[in-house]
Amino acid sequence: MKKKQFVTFRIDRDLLGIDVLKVREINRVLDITPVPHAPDYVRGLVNLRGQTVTIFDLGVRLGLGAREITPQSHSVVAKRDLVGLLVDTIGDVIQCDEREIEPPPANVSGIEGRFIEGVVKLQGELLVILSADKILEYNKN
Amino acid sequence: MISEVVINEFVAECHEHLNATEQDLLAMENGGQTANSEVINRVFRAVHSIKGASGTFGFNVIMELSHAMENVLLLFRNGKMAPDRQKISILLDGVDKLRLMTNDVRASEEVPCEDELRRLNRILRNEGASPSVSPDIEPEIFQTEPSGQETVCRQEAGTAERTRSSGPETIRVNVELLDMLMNLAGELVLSRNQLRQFLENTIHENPKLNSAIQNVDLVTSEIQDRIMQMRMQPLSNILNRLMRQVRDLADQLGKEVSFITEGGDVELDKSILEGLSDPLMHIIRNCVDHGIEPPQERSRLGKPSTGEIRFRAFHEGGQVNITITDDGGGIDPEKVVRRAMANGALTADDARRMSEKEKLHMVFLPGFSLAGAVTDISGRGVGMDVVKTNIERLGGYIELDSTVGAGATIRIRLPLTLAIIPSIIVRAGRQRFAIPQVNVQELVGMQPEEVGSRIEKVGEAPVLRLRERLLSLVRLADILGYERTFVHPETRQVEVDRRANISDRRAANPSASGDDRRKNPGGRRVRRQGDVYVVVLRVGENVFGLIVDELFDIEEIVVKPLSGHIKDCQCFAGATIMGDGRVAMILDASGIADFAGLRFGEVNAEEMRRQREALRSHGITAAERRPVIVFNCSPEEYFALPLGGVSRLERIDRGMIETLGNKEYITYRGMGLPLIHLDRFLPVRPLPEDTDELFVIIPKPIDVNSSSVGILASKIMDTVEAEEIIRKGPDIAKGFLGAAVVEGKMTMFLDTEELLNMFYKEASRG
Repeated sequence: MKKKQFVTFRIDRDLLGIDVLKVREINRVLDITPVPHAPDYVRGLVNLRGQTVTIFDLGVRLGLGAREITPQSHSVVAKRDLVGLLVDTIGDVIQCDEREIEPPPANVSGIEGRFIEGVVKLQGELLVILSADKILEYNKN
Repeated sequence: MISEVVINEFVAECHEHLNATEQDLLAMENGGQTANSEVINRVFRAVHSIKGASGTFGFNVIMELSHAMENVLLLFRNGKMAPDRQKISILLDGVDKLRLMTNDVRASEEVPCEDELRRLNRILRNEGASPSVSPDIEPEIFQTEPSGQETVCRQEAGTAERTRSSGPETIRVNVELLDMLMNLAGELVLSRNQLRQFLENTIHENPKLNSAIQNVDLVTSEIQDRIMQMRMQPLSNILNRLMRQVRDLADQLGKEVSFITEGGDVELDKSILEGLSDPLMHIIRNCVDHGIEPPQERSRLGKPSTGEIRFRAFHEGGQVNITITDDGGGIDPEKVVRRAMANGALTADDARRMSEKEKLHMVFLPGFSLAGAVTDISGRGVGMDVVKTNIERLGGYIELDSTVGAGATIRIRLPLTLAIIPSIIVRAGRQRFAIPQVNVQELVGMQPEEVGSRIEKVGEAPVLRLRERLLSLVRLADILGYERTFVHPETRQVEVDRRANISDRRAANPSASGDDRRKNPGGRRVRRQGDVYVVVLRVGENVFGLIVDELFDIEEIVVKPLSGHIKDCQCFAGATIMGDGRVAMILDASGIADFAGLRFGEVNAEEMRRQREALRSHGITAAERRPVIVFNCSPEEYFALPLGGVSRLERIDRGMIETLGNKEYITYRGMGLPLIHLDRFLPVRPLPEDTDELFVIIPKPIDVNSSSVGILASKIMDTVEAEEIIRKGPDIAKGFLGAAVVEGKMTMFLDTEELLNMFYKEASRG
């Protein structure tokens, strides 16, 4: 039996998670410098201890609309590519058995299907597991 | 199996030894019979180390070859044989083979080296006294030598060990690690700045704090400097390779070339140095192949049969300058033009309008080749454009100058490092941006009153009149999709600028002043405008103006790469972290020009049209006009020389002038350059006594045989287009061609030939 851990966070009401092994850190470094002409989901750049991190608006990336930065906003910085995902609130790290992960239903609350790896049924709530790799993937169009 | 790490170490060490050996061998060759024993010993030791190490690791072929080389070197060392050109060539071939083998050391056994071994051994056989040496004999070769020599050998091997341990201690460090350190040092600077901000209010309460902070300041900048230094390497690292190339090529082409280098100790960032190697190789190849003539032809032309290529590197204004000069045939701009026209790259009409320099610079066009025939060495037309692209990629700038029959000069300017670049910080909207200083030609600030008279339209596009030129204008805020802002002149607040167009106001009222605008029929309250700032940017041969909302200082910035998601935004070259810890984007001049769809051709054509029109109104046709350089010796007396007749302009310090008898000289390119004071030959006033900075104008020699001289000037005013021949009346003195009004000033045109003849006549008199 293989255990998996997920960093969880919310976009609006949706509870989302990313494999903890794909996350470098979670912070509130959100003094963002916008980058004109960048793709719409790129919010801009921040300085993370001397390195520039590209901040994605995860809401826009998933198709859920732009986020507003509030005192609860956080950036979930991925290990790959120095990209931070802007989320509304941060939640607990949730551990579950690999077998509890189910394939995603046809349409999960408007999130683009290609970003969803699976869902986990928690008590009274659904945890949507996102694919960090798909989110960070750059498709030049 | 030996670990990869150890092998890599071995390979790196071999390369170091081989580079040093190559350099020393070339030095030995130049030293001839009297080759310095220290150099021979050094080469011997290096080859010996390679042999030893390769034996240990079981790279038998490397060992075999280095062993054979060592045997030959031993003969040199024992004085049994003098290193001559032919033997050095064989040894150099050996060095090349060893380099090839160590490049892929595991496959070294597959590199054929029989030829090298045969030639090395032939040297040994010819030296009758030496024992018969075959490559199979083990390193114990020394023991077959007479016993007396054996001890010498042993002793010296011992010295070698000692010298190495007493030399400067070095350690190889991964460049990535240095980059990381650099990052952290930058971070330290930011933390220091923040600390200072937080403590500012309490600092007077605790005086000890102040000195502590100052200390942190010092140490931090010191750390940053040192890390920068670690990445620096001397140019001599690539000069050796160039030297070798000149030698081999000259041999191959049957030419005699001496390669003179100066400034090999000038240091550049490792990454720049690496990127510089190929372009320099190419330039040198061109010099030897196309520039320097064969010896017979040189003699016929009255030149020394040995051609000369001079490589000079020096620091200037925070940049590294490299000049490569050859005394070969030079490049004929007309030939360049003919070739470009034949290729369809140029029309006859274009060609007429081009200056000599522009014509020469056509060689930087892709696919351009002047070579009559494609040879092994050059002439494939993939050349100077690649050189130019590579240099520009390094943030540098390349320029070509040539005098037909006398040679060509290539000038390269490079930043010291790619990691830290001086940049101008500007604002657009509410964001700051950095513009690398290498792209900036100048900054223009305009008062609101001036705007109307200096900015106008060509077609739909706004242009700036800057001296005689027209520059396309782009507003940074528009490019980035920001609201335009300006700094309110009274409140110093950043406010939104609501003018639709920079030249709007002028259209409404040509002589609009602040007061007039209040009566604007639109009824809208018109606020006072802030100043308009234009950053004049260079993109290759073209120049355009970027209007920014505010200009700040020049700062040294550290370039951070962009993530893939924003790499496609063509306006940016990277990002950087500012002193306050925020990220700022670095602007890319050529990206902005592309994004804005600037049509340089249109504006250039308009510029030409206006110039022609201006000329016509003066009753002169374009063909009669030539660029001239205007200068003065004493203030208020203006002189002009045709630009085409000038080979160089140098800025000098009065202190550099040396006096010999009643003549004055400066040292220029290693030779004494006699100087002309115009007032000694012409009825003009002398140079002012109180200026330290002077200029030397070096006219092109009258013919190939005459030596160069320099004309002293106190100030170079400008280069302008002027009608070449002017009024020559009876009142015009000898040494002048005539006089004309240039830019509203009465200007005397010098007759260079007559002036030089006057000078030579006097010089020969004593």
